Amino acid sequence: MKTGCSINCINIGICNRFRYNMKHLSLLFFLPLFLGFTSEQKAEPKQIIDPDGLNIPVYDFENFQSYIDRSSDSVYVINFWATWCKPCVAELPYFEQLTDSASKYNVNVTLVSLDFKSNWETGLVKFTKKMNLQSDVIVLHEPDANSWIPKIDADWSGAIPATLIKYKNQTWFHEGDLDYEELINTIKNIKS
Amino acid sequence: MKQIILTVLAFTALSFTTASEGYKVGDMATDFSLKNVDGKMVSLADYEDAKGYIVIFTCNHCPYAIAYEDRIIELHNEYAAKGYPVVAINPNDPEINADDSYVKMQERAKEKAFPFAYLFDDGQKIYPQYGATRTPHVYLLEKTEDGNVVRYIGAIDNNYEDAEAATEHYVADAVDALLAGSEIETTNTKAIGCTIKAKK
Repeated sequence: MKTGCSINCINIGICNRFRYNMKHLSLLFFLPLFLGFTSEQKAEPKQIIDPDGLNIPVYDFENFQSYIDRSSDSVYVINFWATWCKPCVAELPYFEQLTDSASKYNVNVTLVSLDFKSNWETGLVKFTKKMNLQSDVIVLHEPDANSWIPKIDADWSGAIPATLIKYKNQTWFHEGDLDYEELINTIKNIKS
Repeated sequence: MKQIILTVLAFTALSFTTASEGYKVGDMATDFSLKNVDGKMVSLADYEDAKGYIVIFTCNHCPYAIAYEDRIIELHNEYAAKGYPVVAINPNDPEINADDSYVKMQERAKEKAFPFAYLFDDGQKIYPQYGATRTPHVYLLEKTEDGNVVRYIGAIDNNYEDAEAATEHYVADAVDALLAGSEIETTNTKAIGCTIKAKK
């Protein structure tokens, strides 16, 4: 957060004293962060799956990372799942329940589908409609999984379901399924 | 600035503490006696001429496992004659997913004409020792005088969706390196896969 603030200061140019004190080296250090920050805000999906206005964005990992690196007072709950994954589907109602009480806990739930491309238009769309999913559904499409799994969490083997919870600069990761109580307790813990 | 450096250091430290159960590269892997789809019991020791084994925890129902079936067949066809047969093991509890029952395994093996042993980890005793968490999950073993040494753990290649688009062929490269007596470049990889099904 501190980094974000100083970047903003540089950006809008009202932090002259701070900027004046900075050595050239520090400027060089902060510049890439600043550039990273601006691209973060874009987080462009590479494709939108949009039959009947469902609007499911498809991200590559780079843009997905920007998408999940949002920093605010919300707790971000990011669940990795797929329509064919039975334990994933079994725990979805708990995430939906969390979305129902989103304002109470100030949470934002994203369901990150890892469905195969061949299953997007049929399986994923059909499932999302049938279940009437209220949480944000997005697709992460980056078949070279070894390149990005360790960036989510060093201990993640790659098995799904898996859930990442982010709050400000804290993260919590779990491989395996969860129930509603575990979710709520984790959210309370991370905020305390 | 100091804070940032500390954070970076903390993250670096964290990334080294990937302690999880099961085998790591360099460990000795256990042998087993598991039922093959032809009804016979199979152990690693039965492969007298083998130089090692491509042990793959895989199953019937998982789309990732299905996506890799043809590539697993190719691996066996390429490397069995060179001393590295594929030994496939279904680690799932069929009570949780009926598609992974022994009978369904027999059906699938027949449909796809699996040229390798497809074993059932009945009672789920073997996969936890290896530390397999998902299907497909590969353990490449080298047979030595002291036992079967784990040389590679992870994915088959780096594109589950499209074999043609894969640019890294981890298992094939690792076996080639063992055959050539050279160092294996990549010894650990991660991949998305289906959680191995076990009762809680």
